[in-house]
Amino acid sequence: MTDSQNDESMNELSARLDEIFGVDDEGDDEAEDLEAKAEKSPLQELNATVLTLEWEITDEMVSQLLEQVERLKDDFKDDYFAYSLLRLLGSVGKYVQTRKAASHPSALNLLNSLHTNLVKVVESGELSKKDKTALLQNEVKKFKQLKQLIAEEKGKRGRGDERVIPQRSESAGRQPSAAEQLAPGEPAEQMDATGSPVQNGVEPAEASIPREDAPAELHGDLALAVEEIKKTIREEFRALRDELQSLNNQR
Amino acid sequence: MAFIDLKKKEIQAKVVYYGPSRGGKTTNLEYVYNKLDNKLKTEMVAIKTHGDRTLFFDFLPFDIGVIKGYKVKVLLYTVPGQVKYNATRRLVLQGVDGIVFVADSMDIRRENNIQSLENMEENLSTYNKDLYKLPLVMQYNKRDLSDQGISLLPLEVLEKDLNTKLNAPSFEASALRGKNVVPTLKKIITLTMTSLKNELK
Repeated sequence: MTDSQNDESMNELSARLDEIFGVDDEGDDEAEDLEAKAEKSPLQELNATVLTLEWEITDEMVSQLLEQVERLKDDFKDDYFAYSLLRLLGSVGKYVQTRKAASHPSALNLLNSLHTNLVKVVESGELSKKDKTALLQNEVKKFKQLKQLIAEEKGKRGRGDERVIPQRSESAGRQPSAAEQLAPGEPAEQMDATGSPVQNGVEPAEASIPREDAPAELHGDLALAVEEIKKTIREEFRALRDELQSLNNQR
Repeated sequence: MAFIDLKKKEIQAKVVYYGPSRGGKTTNLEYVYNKLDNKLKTEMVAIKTHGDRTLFFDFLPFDIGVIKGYKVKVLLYTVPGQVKYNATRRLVLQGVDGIVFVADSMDIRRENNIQSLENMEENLSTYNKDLYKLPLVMQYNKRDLSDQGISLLPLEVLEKDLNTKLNAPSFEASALRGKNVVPTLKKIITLTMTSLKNELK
């Protein structure tokens, strides 16, 4: 094929791609509006911290979250709904500080949900008192469910679940229990957090997966991939069972 | 190697989005999927875990149409970014024709980007593929996060860390907002098709 034929077919390809996706599609124009909105928000710092925690849970970020929550509690002390959500956020934050990436998955979901609703309460002038009450009640319900899930996990561990990864050895002395973290001021229920297969804020090392020495043996790769998926599915089912159990218990 | 049927005049090219976990690979594909016209739309397959993470891979096939008498189809894949899923990543890379490396611009993710790139090179070598010879586009994602006060790596640092030797075309992007998602895709498709043509010569 000659260069001119090459150019011609590439031009055809380029034209076809433009036809499919549009010319110079560089994304949504809403970006600037979002930026402007972010600049005005009193929750800007908290938003950034919660978003960062979604990617990685570090001591620094969780401490930052707790500091920001304390500051905001002061700012919103006259707003019952915002203040209550911040209190819940602080409690879940303290629990996450203790367990980091080994926190129960529902704790991180709750953290995000509390933050989302806090933003709604603070930034949406259209929410009625009734809406805010419903929203807060729903969050309190989720908070209680989480406490129960953690208590059940503790129960399982107490019965000698071998899959549970031990607590960090660096935690000399007694650490506050998850119940204490989740409900400051309430009597401790002597429960610890979940034994998720992740610890110390990092994902399991690649070294923990058996590796093949031979190059690209498909069967080996496939078997490993299947094992990876089976392991994850087991964990997913375990989390789902716990949630179902918790819902049943609530009825 | 792409699937090429000279008799039926069909070409299928495989493009893989690679990169560290939670870097925005799936978000890229979701944006592309939403941009596709309904006539071209096929099903996007995405298997996610409880925490919304990619479990196996995402898969989005779409027809580009007839180019110089050949029916061209592009198969877009993502790999699961989490470190523990390396066997899956290696499987997805089999037969790859072009790669988009989606780097995370957050400065706390700097090491993850570098490790992921090294991991990709290592995995490609198991198929005797040389990263330096494959069509590759770098995408520095999440540039929008600076608006929220999150510390990002400067583009120069990302280029130095990831692209000094490779010298691949690069885009700063925000997959969540769709910024430069399509230009990235157009670039990798063009590079991949050029490479396939050269191989067929």
